[in-house]
Amino acid sequence: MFERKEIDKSIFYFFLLLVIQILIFSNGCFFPSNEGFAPLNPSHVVFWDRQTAESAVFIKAKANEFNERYPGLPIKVEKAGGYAEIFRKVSASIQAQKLPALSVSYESMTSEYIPTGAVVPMDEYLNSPEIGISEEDFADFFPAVITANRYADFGNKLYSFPLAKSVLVLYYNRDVLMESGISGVPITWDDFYQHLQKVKMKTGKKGFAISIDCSTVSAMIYSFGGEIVKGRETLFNSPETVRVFSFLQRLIKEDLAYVITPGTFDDQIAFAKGEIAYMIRSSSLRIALELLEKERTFHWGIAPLPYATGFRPVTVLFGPNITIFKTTPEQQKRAWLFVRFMTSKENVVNWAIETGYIPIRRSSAENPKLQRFWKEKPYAKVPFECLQFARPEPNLSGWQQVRDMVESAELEVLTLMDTPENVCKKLEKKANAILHLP
Amino acid sequence: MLFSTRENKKHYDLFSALVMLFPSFLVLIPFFILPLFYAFQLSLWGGKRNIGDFVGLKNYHIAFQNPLFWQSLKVTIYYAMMTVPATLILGFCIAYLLSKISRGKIFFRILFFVPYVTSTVAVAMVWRIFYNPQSGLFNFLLDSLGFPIQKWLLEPRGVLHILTGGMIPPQYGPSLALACISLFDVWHTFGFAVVVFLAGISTIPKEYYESARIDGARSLQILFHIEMPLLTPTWLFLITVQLIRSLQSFSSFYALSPSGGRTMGTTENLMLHIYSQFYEYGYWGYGSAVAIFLSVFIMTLTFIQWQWSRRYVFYQ
Repeated sequence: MFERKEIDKSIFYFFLLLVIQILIFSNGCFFPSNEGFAPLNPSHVVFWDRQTAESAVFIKAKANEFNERYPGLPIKVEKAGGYAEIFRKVSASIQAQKLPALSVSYESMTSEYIPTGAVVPMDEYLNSPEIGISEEDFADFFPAVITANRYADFGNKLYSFPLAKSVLVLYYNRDVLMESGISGVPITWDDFYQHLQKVKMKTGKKGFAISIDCSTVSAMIYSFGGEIVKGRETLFNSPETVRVFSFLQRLIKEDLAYVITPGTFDDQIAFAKGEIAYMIRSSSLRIALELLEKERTFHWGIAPLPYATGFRPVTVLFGPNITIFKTTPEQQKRAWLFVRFMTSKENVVNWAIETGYIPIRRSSAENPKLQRFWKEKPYAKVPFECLQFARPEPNLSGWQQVRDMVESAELEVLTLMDTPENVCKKLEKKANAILHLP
Repeated sequence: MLFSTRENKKHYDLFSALVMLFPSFLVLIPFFILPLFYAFQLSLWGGKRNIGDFVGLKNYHIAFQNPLFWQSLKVTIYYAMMTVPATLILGFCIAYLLSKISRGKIFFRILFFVPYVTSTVAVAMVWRIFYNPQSGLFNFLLDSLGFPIQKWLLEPRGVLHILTGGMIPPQYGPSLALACISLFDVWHTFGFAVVVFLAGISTIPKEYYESARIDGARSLQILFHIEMPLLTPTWLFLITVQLIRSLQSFSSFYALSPSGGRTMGTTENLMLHIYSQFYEYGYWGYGSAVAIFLSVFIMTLTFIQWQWSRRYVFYQ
């Protein structure tokens, strides 16, 4: 009888030889051939979206309206999960060379897709006499929302187009402020600090829940008069960033604020319960607070983000854009037409009313429908007014990794692990190393 | 003549073995072996979110020079060191006690096994509420007992630093956030160890116990001289399975580790490191290189375990 050991040995050598053969002769055989990008669905213009609830219904209704009004390849809206999931799916699709015609994306996502050659710059469509947007009409968009979609790393081309925009704002709980004897909203960070002291003194509550977030840090740096990047160099080791981190650390040390678990909306719940006076979040959170208001009575409002004494108001611009991918000329053209349709004057206003997002065109302010809406809900107008001074965050390739580093640094400061000065020094060094990677 | 018959028999046996193994290869080759080759091949290439130039072993070199890689390896090892012994000792103690009771055995067995069969993400969400620094159960208990409240999943300081009142520097040992994830994992998986140990204990022949009692052996003597040696194959199986599982742990880390900086990297194990590098930042080659390293690391540890087991594991 043949020994078991010997059989094992034979099988082992057989597979060892197989592995060596595959590795020698494969030379990249597992990688797909570079034949160019193709559409995911040749008979439909697939749009990967992340919207839920009202926003999803609105987009689907608009896609149907577009398909009826402009006959041709139909737009098909597919919910592709959250932003992180869409990012992964698009990355995998790029690798498989089968792409949706268009997808929602943040600037940091688009800047990762561009080097693969899968993204279509929209400048040509935008300037086309037949299907473009006139200069006058284009000037109606707030400059910040367009600037955010031009990529300095890639010839300043328009690789994405704004869709749903929001800004970082300060939410205040009027009940807590009244209980603390505070009548107005803070204009400067000094006011904000004094308000928190009053809240603590009068109610014993920590008045502010800090959500660890890179965009909030960016906005605070701007509001202290600082900058985040210069070319591909970050400026985190600056007096302004140190001031931001020192300010936040002081709030923790003096027990005026606490940190919520990242990725949760614990601050929103505490806010609705009247446990905190302030939270800093995206203006799109308005819808969620309106829903919470139906469950429990609490009075709240929205104010612009405070700024450092001696500086001017500023905030950061949020929200996804639309990216068109290389598929077929016909699909790309249909995708652009849909982008143009979605950002028309009428649709921008409807989009703002139906969802928590803000209109991205200046002319929207004169729209009677929107004026009626703002009269009913005056707080909803605040984010629109903030658009005047909103600034986009950097859209450099590799920024996503830098964002995580900023959040890690913020946690280091807030858990009092190190001094703001040291944290800023380390952060700048690490972030620059990432941005300098080939 | 004899030689050629033996040779034929050899070939026949090898052929039969391959034929019998063929169905399993149908699953193993497309779902395990080819992806492994693919990952290995990917690890030899550069590029970001794309396949760039052939770089040979450069991705491995980058990994070994990357402090984040070493940090995540350290987290992985700490996690295995905390969860594997705790899970097995707790599992064994409960299984031992359950083996001694005559009533309610099935009830307790189900009770302890339920967490294991419950979705990791779902129960992790419940534990996340328990760990909430403001309104969580754990801080409520600490506060009620007069102890200082903790930041739990948000705490990057070492457990040893906290326990010794700051005598040990905060960067030494696992962070409190990592200990929280480990505690969750022990609770979630020890039921499996209980069931396997119970099965192991039930296979020990009754005669051994009877003979030992006739010889005047006490419970502890029976435990250490009869039950423990006969349970060594069970221990070996559980140590191997739990060690591999802990080194590959992803769900509990992903669900409990805060997304904002992952508690300064103190809760980023190798799996999360691979995930973030590969999927979030698009370093496919680097991510694959770390994945291959992890596979080799696990295989080496398992091999050492099997070698070690030859000395200490007793088969009936």
